[in-house]
Amino acid sequence: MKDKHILEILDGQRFADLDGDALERARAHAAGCADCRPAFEAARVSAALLDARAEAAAAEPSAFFQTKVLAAIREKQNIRKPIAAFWRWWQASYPLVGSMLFIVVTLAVLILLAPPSKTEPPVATYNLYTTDSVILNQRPPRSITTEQALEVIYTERRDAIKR
Amino acid sequence: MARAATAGDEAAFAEIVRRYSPRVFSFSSRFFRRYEQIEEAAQEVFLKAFTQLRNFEGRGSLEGWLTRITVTTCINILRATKPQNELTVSDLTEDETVWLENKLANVSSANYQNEEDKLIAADLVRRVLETLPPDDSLILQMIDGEGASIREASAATGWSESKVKIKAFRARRRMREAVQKLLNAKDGKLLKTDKTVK
Repeated sequence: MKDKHILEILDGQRFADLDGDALERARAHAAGCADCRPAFEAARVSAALLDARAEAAAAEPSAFFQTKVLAAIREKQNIRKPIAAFWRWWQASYPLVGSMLFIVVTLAVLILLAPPSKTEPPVATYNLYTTDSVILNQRPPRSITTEQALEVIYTERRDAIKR
Repeated sequence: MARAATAGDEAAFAEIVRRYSPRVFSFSSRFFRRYEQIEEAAQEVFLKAFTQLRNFEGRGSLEGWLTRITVTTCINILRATKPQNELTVSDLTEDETVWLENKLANVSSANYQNEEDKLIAADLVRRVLETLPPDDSLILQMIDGEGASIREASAATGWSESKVKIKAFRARRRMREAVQKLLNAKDGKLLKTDKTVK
């Protein structure tokens, strides 16, 4: 300590820890040295500033801090484990989703597996009532096709014109 | 409790957060000035603790383990942000300049020690400490401010004792030089006082 320069002494330990001898030597040197005096004063002021810092109250956690931390942890877990998150979602909603899927699949299967229709495209059919059959209250003839109906109509008209 | 939390017991981890968050906040306060920054850092600490809980082997206390995570996390956050420019005398408020003048003149009246002066000093020192590297700032606050021993600082930071001593030496020099610049910048006026040096 004896041969150390004042700056080494000041920087080597807390200002408050300087013992009487070292402090007196530093003070005496600073009083007479224009270069070291600012350093001595700065060290003293620094020590006072740090004391003030130590006395200042530290911040306290808010009442919601614990909730925030737990929420952040859950969010991080969900991001990292999408399968687990999907499984949790599935457990909550599987009855509804399951039934919807079942209906859709059933309809799709029915549509795909339904047999093709073998009937011919329907044709316009109608029962031909002649005037005589209506008057005489006779049963109409069996159903005929459109072409047959047209043939009957035009034949009757042709006959009517000839007459 | 740590074992239960590692096994996924959320209530156990919630208890860890409740029990140790004041200490984590106290440590984070040494690095940041604004409350939002302190809270964000503390949240990050507990998120890391949750993911690394299985690495806690029970050697040493849970509190010490969390303190080391806090130190590492806060230093990493600060290193990622833009470093503060050095503080110049033009950055000081009038109250802070008066405080420095009073301190330099070694005024020790009752008024000087009132709560308002303490708040001014606390804010000024935070601004000075922001201009230093984050690990220097931490070491200064722990050892020079709070009186922690080298061993205690080593246990809290996870650094070796020799590393703590070296950091403390360099931190004191940087702090002294920063304050010296502030004092010198007033045209040496503050240092021309004829008052007796304390």
